[in-house]
Amino acid sequence: MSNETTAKAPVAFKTKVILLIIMAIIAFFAGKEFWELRHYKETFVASEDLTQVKWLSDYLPSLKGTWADTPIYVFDSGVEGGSVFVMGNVHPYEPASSITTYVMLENIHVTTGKVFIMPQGNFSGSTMGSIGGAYPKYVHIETEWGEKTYKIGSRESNPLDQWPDPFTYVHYPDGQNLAYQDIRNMNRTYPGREDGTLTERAAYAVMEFIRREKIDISIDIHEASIMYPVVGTYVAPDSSIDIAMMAAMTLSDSVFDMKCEASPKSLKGLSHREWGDYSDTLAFLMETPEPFIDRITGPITENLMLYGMDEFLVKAAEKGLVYVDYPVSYWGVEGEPMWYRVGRHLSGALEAINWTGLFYDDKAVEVTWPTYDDLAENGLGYYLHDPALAENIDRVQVVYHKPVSVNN
Amino acid sequence: MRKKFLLAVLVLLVVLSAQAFAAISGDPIKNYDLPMLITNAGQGPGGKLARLLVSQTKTIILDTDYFYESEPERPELVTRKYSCLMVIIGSTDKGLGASGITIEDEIQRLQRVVEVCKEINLPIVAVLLEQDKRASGIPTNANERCIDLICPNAEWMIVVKRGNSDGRFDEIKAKYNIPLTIIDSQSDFIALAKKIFNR
Repeated sequence: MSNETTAKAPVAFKTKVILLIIMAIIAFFAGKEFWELRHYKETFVASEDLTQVKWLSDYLPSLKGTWADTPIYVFDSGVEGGSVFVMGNVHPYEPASSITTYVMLENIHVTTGKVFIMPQGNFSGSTMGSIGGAYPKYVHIETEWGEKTYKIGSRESNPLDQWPDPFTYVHYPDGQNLAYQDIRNMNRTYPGREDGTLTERAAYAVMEFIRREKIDISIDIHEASIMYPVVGTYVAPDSSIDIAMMAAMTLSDSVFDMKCEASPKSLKGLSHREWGDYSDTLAFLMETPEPFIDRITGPITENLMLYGMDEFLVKAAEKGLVYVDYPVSYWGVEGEPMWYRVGRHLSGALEAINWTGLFYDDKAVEVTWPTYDDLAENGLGYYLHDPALAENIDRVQVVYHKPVSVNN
Repeated sequence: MRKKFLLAVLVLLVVLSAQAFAAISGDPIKNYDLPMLITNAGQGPGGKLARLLVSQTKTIILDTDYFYESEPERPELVTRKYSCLMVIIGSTDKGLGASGITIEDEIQRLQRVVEVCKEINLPIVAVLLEQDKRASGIPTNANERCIDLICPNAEWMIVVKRGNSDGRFDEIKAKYNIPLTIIDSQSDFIALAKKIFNR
């Protein structure tokens, strides 16, 4: 008996070692995938109107060196006027929002007032996919000169940067109980707190930025599932709802359907509520239809992100269970394509800015960037410039959580 | 300057097109005196939208010719001799539930409003302006429940065209013999308001 045990032991040990090596190899390749997304650096060719690059940590120094720090690009016309803040990717699994800001950043021209653009609102959240989401890391946009790659991140900050979550998230300062993971959801942590969690600190820094820069118009860009009623819409508090309604009506009468929703006073932590309550800014949140994040879809692929076509959602639409026209059809392609969602945001933001100027002379900002109609005519890739061209090399910007040069 | 001019032209176009080319169809327009009261059913932004659109007439003045109350009860309904109560149907997609308000609370409040209106002979005009609010495949949708409560008790229905794409309001018209006027777009409500109140 004793001899038998002695003879089997080395075999069991060898098996364990082999299994360990196999696991290590799998872990290495899986880890490499995570590492790549964590460290991926998006780039853009900045418009010639770029005047300055600021950082979120300029408004709360404790963010410096953390994964919540993120660049803010400033376009100052030098002509007195209002100021606009556009924020993308506070929920980085809604990439039409960051891609919208990149189209703005590459093509913006400001003639009155200042525009501040933050393409990665929650940078930490852009460094991972949603836990259990198992979807692609990137979305690729075709251009005439090649493909442009953008991250598909998570809804919340990365647990590597903020962990553990509490059993219940208690919103500061209102004390409203929210889902535990919402403590990492930047759009549930406003107005934030100076010494709070990383996400709360980032939210606080955004508030400080809005207050110190005296931002007149603040636009928070999102996407929503099409079975969620708050989709294809502005959401605005009392102070800006008349402007949002006029903008929505103008768009609906002339370009595409746009709804308008009032920000509930007792729903805490959201930009469309707290930005206006804790500063003098006129806040607007915009949502486009993103089938990729609906819960009943088939395979969650890059094609679903790019084109938004899903047979199960078509069935749901036939039964009147979705809140936008679905599928929309352009150039023989059906779904909710990326260009369409980005185009909606580009024109939606412009309309809100223009109507604000009509309501309040002193907040007028004169700015142009490509519109929905432009994207419908030329496509999305047309407005993303080739960083390799000699005339563009000096204008390439790298979007990361700390300053890096193009070659790093 | 050029941009400002273009924007001014845009505003003018929106207002003028709303007035000159307003597409209003269906049953004849009813006329009411002023003042009138605007409110909403479902706690949505429709009431505020109607308030904004009526203000765009520039001839019907807020807090003089018309008033807005988001959640009127008996005191607010009897405080003035209103010619009519415009109830703008549209549930909040963001607020109900999320902010602790239930549709049951809202329906009970609306039932009280309807009872007071009957008691003081205040005509109800049911209005649907938010064309994309309805998910007609869900009968328990908050908007559908508000329609079920308000429309049968209304004297007149005004509905934006796409809000009736499933014939929902035609059915109510046929069943309860309530006139139905259709406007093509939200901005047509500006011209309609001028005609209703002769301003």
